[in-house]
Amino acid sequence: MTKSEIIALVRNHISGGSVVGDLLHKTDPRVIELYVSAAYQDILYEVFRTDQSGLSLYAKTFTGVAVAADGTTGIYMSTLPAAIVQLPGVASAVRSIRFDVGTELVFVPLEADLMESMKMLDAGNYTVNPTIGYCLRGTNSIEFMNFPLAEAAETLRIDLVIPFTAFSASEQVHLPSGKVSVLIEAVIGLLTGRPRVNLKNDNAETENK
Amino acid sequence: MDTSRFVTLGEIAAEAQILSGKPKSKIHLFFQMITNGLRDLQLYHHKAPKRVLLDMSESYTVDLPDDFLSFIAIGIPINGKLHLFTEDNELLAIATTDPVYSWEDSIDERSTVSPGTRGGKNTDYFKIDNENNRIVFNSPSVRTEIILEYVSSGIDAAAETSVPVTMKMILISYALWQDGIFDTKTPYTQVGILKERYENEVEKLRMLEMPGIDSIRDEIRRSYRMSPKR
Repeated sequence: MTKSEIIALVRNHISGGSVVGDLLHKTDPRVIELYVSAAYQDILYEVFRTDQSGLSLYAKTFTGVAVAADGTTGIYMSTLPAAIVQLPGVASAVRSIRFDVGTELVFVPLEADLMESMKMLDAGNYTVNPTIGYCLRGTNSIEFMNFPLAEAAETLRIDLVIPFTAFSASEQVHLPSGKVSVLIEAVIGLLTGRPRVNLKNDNAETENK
Repeated sequence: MDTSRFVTLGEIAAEAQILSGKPKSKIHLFFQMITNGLRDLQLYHHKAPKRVLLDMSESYTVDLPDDFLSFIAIGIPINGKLHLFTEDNELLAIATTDPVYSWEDSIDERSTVSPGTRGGKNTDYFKIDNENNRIVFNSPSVRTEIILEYVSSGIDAAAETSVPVTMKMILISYALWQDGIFDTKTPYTQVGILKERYENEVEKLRMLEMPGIDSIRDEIRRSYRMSPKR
């Protein structure tokens, strides 16, 4: 399904009926997309907890990502081509990195602290160990270890798990099997919100449960 | 075509990481343990000395190679054989370009001994100066083409290192054992099993490198002497 189809599906579901009432016309259309985005992120997290390798199915591939050496430190860095979903784990939402063409070197995610120490060892010397390590720096850049000088002009192909809002309307958004109805239910749950505070009982702040 | 008899350290690290069940992000740690294992193997178990050709400096010294771990022998090649120099630990003076001693450059044929033996009898004396990372000589002249035999780290600093595939399982066993030691979740008994497995692999390599029956026969026949007939 495309992003706009998913939103249309959700909108259709909340446009009336005995269960949800008419939530559609009570809600700003832009807010609906944000709620879908929140529900989508929850589903991705559930996939992450079940099987991390499964996340690659929901990643989007970006090609032509440049690598540049920092002028002062000489450290090789790349700027992420899109915003990513924040996921626990070493690789977070960066599911795979490869060169666009040619060289078949392996990229491996590393913990930031481990990478700092690793640079002082044999394993952190790219002439000895041609496996390239990477870690996320901040929210929008990747730092590399053992990046070979000879490949500095090459571009990268990166698979990222991006938030729902980062997809264009006509783009295919993959939902895990059996999770479409979960997504709709989750959005309805978010839109319905918590019941109002019961003020009848002497203004006591007792919530309906 | 059959698979190569060489395998890279990266490939060994990848296999160890997969066998351990640890995530891919630990592959660099396994690579490090594999390099440590290779050094250990080179020093204590694997009989593969490295030979390099070096020239003496004008001050009668030779710098130790960067990958030098342990000394085996040093000498010069004469008629295709290595004639060893004599180690003299009392040697203090480093000869200058104008040698103090003017010994004749004569090599005693008896200084040809088997690899691993040091201390031939000849005119060249040396001392390993570990502090200054070099070997100092007292020789009749500045020699060229000295052969240094030593135990190397086995790790190429300029390119990816390949090792004989016969060493693969030893290095994997070493890495899994070390991983077990440093991973506090590994039960103590399991660490013992991993260590035993490593020792078994080392034993297999030793058996592989033991002299064959032909080599043993040759050694015995070499010691035969014709006795006078009476």
